[in-house]
Amino acid sequence: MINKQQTDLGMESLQPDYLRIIRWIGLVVCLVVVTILSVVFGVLWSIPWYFATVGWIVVLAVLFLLLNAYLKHWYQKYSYQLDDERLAINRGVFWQHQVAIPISRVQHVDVNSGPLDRRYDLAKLVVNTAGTHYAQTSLPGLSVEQAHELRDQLLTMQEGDTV
Amino acid sequence: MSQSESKNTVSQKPETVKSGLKKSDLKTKGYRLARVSPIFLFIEAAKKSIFPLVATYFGTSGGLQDRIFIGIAVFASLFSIVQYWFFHYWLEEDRLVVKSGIVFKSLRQVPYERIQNITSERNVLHKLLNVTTLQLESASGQTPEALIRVISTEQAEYIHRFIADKSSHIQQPDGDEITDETVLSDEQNALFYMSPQQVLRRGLISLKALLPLGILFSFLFQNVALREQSMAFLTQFIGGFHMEMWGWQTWALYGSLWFIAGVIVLLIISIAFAFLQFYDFTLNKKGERLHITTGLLTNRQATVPIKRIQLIRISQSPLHRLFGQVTIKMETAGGVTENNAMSMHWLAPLIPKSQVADFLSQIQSEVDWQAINWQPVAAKGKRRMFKKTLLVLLLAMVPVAYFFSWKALLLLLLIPYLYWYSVRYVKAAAYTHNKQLLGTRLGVFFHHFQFATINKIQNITWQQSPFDRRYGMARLMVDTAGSNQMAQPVRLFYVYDSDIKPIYQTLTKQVADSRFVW
Repeated sequence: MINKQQTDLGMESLQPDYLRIIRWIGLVVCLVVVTILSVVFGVLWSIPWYFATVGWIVVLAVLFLLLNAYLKHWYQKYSYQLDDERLAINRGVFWQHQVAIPISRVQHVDVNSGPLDRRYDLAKLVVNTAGTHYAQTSLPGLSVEQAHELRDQLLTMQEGDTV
Repeated sequence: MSQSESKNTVSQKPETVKSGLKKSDLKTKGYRLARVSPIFLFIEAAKKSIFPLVATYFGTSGGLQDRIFIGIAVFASLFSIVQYWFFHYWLEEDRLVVKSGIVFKSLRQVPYERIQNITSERNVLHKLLNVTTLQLESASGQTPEALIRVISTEQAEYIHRFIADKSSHIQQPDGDEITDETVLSDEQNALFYMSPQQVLRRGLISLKALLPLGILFSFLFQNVALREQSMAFLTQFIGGFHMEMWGWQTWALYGSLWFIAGVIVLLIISIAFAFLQFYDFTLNKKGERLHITTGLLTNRQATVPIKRIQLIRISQSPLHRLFGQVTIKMETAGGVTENNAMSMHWLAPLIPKSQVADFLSQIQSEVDWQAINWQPVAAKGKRRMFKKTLLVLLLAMVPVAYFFSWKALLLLLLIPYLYWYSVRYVKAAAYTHNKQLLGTRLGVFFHHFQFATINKIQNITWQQSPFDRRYGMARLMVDTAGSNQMAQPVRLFYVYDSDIKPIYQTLTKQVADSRFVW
């Protein structure tokens, strides 16, 4: 089902901790969605509280399991590779993308890390080009050292190229 | 040799001009705007705030609250004049400094080297008062580096010369000392010059009046009072014809006469627009820059370094095709976006199709425009296209069925047309990729061509949707700088993955090996 011949060699995957983060986020999203659903249903029909609770848990469980499976594939598909010409990033389960950012086109590089990222010592690399539609490409789920290393590599290579 | 000589004389000249103009020295001592500049500042502010409000005033109820809003806008526009007293600029050895702002002061320093485009604009009012609006663009940002609204024409020319003198890449302006003879020879030398006949054709083809006329009519019919007035006018007008006694012949006669009259009015207004905008459109290549002049009443001059052209778009409507013409536009980096009227986006508003390759090779000589080899997209794409149009048709049928019940089925009669359209669409779609550029061709009725040279490509995206995967296809998108957010990027689709992947790989390599220069 999922294209297997397409796993290019030499692509590096993200940190396993990143999967945990997106699962946490997924859980929160599921909770919010299920709560909204239960409010809507509760207003429309009067359901006994025990059915409501069971239904709530079942829907939450199903939703979360589905999302979990999706996120796992999403995480596995997300990979990157830096060689001396470009940074390539693969992502997407159903809609698959591969973005190539030639190093000579890198304008500047940011390293961000949010509260959840910091909890697991992760960071997100944001590469900016001068483009219009896809000027920013981000690569989340890197360890802080990886992110800094990538940034330094990109910038030193880029400098060597333009000067 | 002779060029440097002329440069010297030119740089001499502004000194005399300037000394005749003002006592102010070069450097650090600030110049101010022209004394008449508040008028222009007010007009500019009014354009942005009052006119839309007045339009909505007529468009809506016209109650008290609208009047209050208009009052506020008038006041705000008047207030904008104040910036005149707070706008100073001066020319330093290596940079232009602009000081502006009332509460939030800003001091902007623009090195001459960084200034890419100089655009000057003069409309009738400018000409009457002998002033010019000057816009300086650098390669970055969505806004111009400096917008000097209204300084005396001599001063504008002096600044232009001064910057040109200091910068390695800005062209000296054509001074007013040029006599009529040289202008004539300039026209003959021009890479592209639009003759009045060509401007006329442009008017006929573009039908620019359609939109404003549509807006006018929608206004007339939105406001209750105005609608009644115009309806009363119309019935009074038409009542004289005694419509109730008309046979079908009279209906047909009058109807067609009215239609023809409407079309003629539309054409005349469109032609007038074309003349206002493109009269005397002249494009000269001077060294590595394009120098463009255009406009009948409002005269615009722009200097665009050729290397700043990021993307070239060629479009051809059915009317274009009737006359064998196309329109060529360009996107330049730094993207002072199109709604800023002062930046130049036209390479050729109307040019015979047969001359396009020659014209473009003269502008970008490194690209072989003669030998563009179009690759068709996969023929199977027509099935996908047909399915897509069918889906759209089905979705359109839902609301129609709701209102008109079974009559919605009549829409199914469109199916043969949709099939024909899909076949034509896929036949027309094509792409080209060679050592210098990537280009796409698209469109059944309106043909669009896009060309991005390799060294202007910023990043490359390979994409595969589940539907693509089913047919073994993929798509490719390429991003360039300075493009319009709304405009489509260059994309290839309905192409087999076995064809796309090699392009993706070689393109990445090509782009990585080339250098991007702003």
